[in-house]
This record gives sequence, C-alpha cells and structure tokens, in this order.
Amino acid sequence: MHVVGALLALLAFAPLGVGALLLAGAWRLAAGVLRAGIALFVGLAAGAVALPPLLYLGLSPTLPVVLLLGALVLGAGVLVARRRPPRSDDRPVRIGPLGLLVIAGPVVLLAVDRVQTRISNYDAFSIWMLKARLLYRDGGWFLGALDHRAFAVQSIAPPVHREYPLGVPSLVAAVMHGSRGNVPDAALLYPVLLTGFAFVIWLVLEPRVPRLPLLAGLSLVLWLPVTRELGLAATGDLPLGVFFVAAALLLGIWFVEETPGTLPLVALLGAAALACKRDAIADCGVLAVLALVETARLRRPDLARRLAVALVLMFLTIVPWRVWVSVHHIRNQDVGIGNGHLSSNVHHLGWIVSRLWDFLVGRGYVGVAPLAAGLAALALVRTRQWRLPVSVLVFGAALFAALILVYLDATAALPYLVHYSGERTVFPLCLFSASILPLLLVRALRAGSDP
Amino acid sequence: MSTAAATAVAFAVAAALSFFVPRRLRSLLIAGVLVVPIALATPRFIRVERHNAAAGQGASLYSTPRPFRWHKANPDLLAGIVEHVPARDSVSIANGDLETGWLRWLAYVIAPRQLVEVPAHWTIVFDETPAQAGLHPAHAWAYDKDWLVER
Repeated sequence: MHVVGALLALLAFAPLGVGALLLAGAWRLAAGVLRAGIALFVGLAAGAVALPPLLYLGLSPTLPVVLLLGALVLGAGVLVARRRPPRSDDRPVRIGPLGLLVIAGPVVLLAVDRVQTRISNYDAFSIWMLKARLLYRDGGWFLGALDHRAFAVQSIAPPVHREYPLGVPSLVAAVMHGSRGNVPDAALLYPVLLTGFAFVIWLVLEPRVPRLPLLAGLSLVLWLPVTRELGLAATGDLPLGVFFVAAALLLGIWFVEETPGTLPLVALLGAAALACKRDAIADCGVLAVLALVETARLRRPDLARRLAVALVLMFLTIVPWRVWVSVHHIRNQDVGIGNGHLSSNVHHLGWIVSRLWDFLVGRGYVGVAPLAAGLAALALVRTRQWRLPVSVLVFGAALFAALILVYLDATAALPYLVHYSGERTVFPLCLFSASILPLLLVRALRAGSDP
Repeated sequence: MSTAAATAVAFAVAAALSFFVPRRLRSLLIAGVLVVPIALATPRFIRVERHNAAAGQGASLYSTPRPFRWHKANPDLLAGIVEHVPARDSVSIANGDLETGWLRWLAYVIAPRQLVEVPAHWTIVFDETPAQAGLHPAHAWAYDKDWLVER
C-alpha cells in the first residue's frame, strides 16, 4: 500500500506539470503517453522550484499544498492557453509501444530494487533523506514544516550540508505523505524522474535520429551503471543531472528550430536543477554563458532578449534559498566560487584532471564523455557540418573546466573532496554525453538522411 | 581490458566499418555499437543491485546498513528511542564518544527527534548505567550496555 500511496503522491504533481506546459506554450510538443510523462516530469521540476520558497514562507510540502499549487498553475495555464492563437504547424512527437517497452524494462527493475533497497548511502541518510524526514514529520497539513531547530544549530547531528537547497527533500517529503513516511517507497521519485528524463530524450531525438539508434541510446542512458547507482542512492545527484541535461537538450532544439514553448521549459528545468544542489550553479552558469555567446554569434538580438529574460528568471529562483541560508548564518564548508584558494591549489591541476579522467573512463560511466568527444570530432571532419559537434565539444569542455575550477577553489582537503565527490560531480557531463551519443553517432557514421 | 577501452574499440571499429557498410545498414551498426557498453558493464552491476535489494528485504529498520560496521551500533536502542520518545522531543547523549557515521544514522532513524548537547528530558547513556552517568531517572530502559533514560 505504501508503494501505491507513493505513486499516487507522485501523480499529484501532474496538474502542476500540465499547468506549466500550458503556461510555457509547450503543450503541443508531445502527444499521448509522451505528453503525460513529460507533464509529470515538468510537474516535479516545478515542485522542486516552488516548494522550497513556500517552505521558507511557512507552508509545508504536503499533498494538499501541491494540489492547490497545481490547481492555481493549471487554471492560469488554461487561461493563457485559450488566449494563445492556435498554431497550424504543430506536429507533436509521440512514443510507441516499443519505445515504452525499452524505457519500462530498466526503469521498472530500478523501481523494484529501489523499493527493496534500504537507504544505506551515507549522504542519503545524513543529508537528503534526513531532511525529507524532518520536513515530513514536522508541521501540519498546510503550515510549519521547516523547523528551524532541526535545520539550525541546536542539534548535534543536524542534516549535513544545511546550505544545500531544499528542492529534493521537499519533493521526497511530499511523496512521503503518500507512502505514510516510508522512505524507500517515497524514493520511487527517482525512477519516475528517470522515466521523465527518458521521455525528454525521446522528445528531442525522435525527429532527428532513426528508430533503432534512438532505442539503443535510450537503453544506454537507462542501463548506465552510475545512472542506476544514483537512482538507488537517493541523493540529490540524479535529480540535478536529469533536470540540468533536460534543460540543455531543450535549449539545443530551441537554438536549432526556435521551437515554441521550449525556452520557458529550459528556464524551469534549469531552475529545478538549481533547486536540487548547488553544483548546478556552475553547470547552469556554463549553459547560460554559452547560450548568450551563441545568440551573439548568430547576431539575433531578439533571441538574446528572450534568452536573457529566461536566464534571469531561472537564476532569480535561487534568491529565496540564498537569503534563507544567509539569514541563518549557514556557511558552506568545502567548496565555493571566489574562496581565494585558486593560486594555492593550482599545482593540483594535473592531479585533479587525472582523477576525474579515471572516473570518466571507470566502470560506472564506461567512457561515454570521451566517446562523445571523439564522435563529435569525427562528425566534424566527416560532415563539415560544425554546429552540433562544436556545440557538444565546447559545452562538454566548459562543464569539465568549470568543475575543475570549483575543485581548485576548494577549502576542504582536495584529495578527500575529489575522491569522495568526483564520480558524482561528473554525472551531468556524462549524462549529457550518453544522451547525445545516438545523434552524434548518426552524424559521425553518416547514417539516416543528412539534416 | 577495461569496459571503457573495449567500448572505445567497438566504436572505432563501427566508425571504420561505416566507410564500407551501405548507408541503410548503418542504423543497425549504431544500435549494435551502443549495446556494447550495456552488455559489458550492466550485468555485473545488476547482479550487485539485485543482491543489495534482496539483502534489504526483511532487514530491521534499525539495523546497521551495509557496508557500515559501527562498533557501538545498537539497533535495539534505536527501536527503543522511537518507541518511547515523543516525536517532537529532544534527546541528549551521555558518554557518547560515537563514530560520526553511527551518530548520523542515529539522527536519521530517530528523526524528527533532535539530538542535543544541552540536558534534555530524555538522555541516551552509552556504556555505563544511568547512576554512573549521574542521572536520576523517572524511567530507564536498558538495551545491552546502553540505556535510554527519562528524567
């Protein structure tokens, strides 16, 4: 019954997602099951963005609050959608039974294992699920879940990294109201997020990649050992990765086709990544800078203006979190930007790169990032169409460089920090690489029709 | 040869073959090469995943999660705290030179009960009796060498 309750609680985010899709003008991007799955994924992203500020204001992350929020956004979405002129060129993407089967296999197995596996990851029980339990057990149906005793200094074992944003614990706490406090069942959030992410990959790649490579590429993403490990770990890394990479993929199609509705989704999904973990600040910073550079290169001030508005809104969502952390004097103890440690750590550069390289080619990622770089280079040489391969190379290199910069500026002991966190912090880069591999392969091996 | 190296070799072979294979068959070639890393890396991981799931079934909520081995872990004490201490109360610790991981696990399992440094209505006493800890309990429950004390 706890599993059914958790799944129903996850479905409570669907109205929020439908409303967000309508508001964004992205309702007709997909149809059928694909649209439903993406609506839920977007609803969870909207929940991750909206629930923490509501927490700071005194509201609880409960199902009535989620449903009320969903009703408000859905109402606004319907009103906006009615006033929007209909488009005649809509050809929504659909997913067939074979695609669903390829996604369902790995995800259902992950869900079964997630429910049966105990919360045993150190970060999960000392940070993420501890916060979720505190948010679930404190407060009432509407008010009072954020007990400042628990998140402030009185306790001798408060949640580690209190300076992290509360997007993931808020989502889990809401789902725990369906699972009656059962944490492993509430962590079904992770397989559901992975399913939503697979739907986004399908939405982006289906019109661009032949069916067989697309199915195989989806399988690679969903069976990738680290994807599964992070789904079972129940930490903030998987939500951060899927929201961020979904934003990056949708930004890609917005640049190529200016697809209506995608830019607001990029902002929402980027904001959701920012609401999951502070690592996303560097990732989203890279995405924002490169996107602005691309609009400048295109000499399209109209695109630049729309993009700038979306990016400003995306980054504004972190203000409530930063204010709350600042007001409670919660300090970041290991990494940050502008700590002034760059010069003293710069001699570790080679060691950091080599250690991160070990993770990239380790058994968890099977080398998907270097493979994507190699295929991008091959596609560049072979097709002379430079936009996709160069974008992938520059984006991947910039993400990697930003990660190295963050490590170089660390205040904590570098060997410990890189060893402990390196495999997780390269996850967004590797997830992006794995997601884009089918498209790169099609270009590099000149399969299908030329674009 | 590592999985990543074997995958890289497979991709290189596919890239080379793509110069000779007819265009209509290249999708098959791509699908084949994308399955290589799954075939090489996933079965071993799935075995571990299934093993951990099976080990988790039927395990007590309070038992030490694998792979941790904390010396002072006491599942019965954890169960006792959850049973006796009201959810909104705080618990202090006496003689608690605890391993960090065990302390974190304790905090997670008993949440939302708070672990505090200042004296509280409830106290956990490790490795000594309440009397040895200078406490005069209204109620006390023994769990092996550890005690939960209500003042």
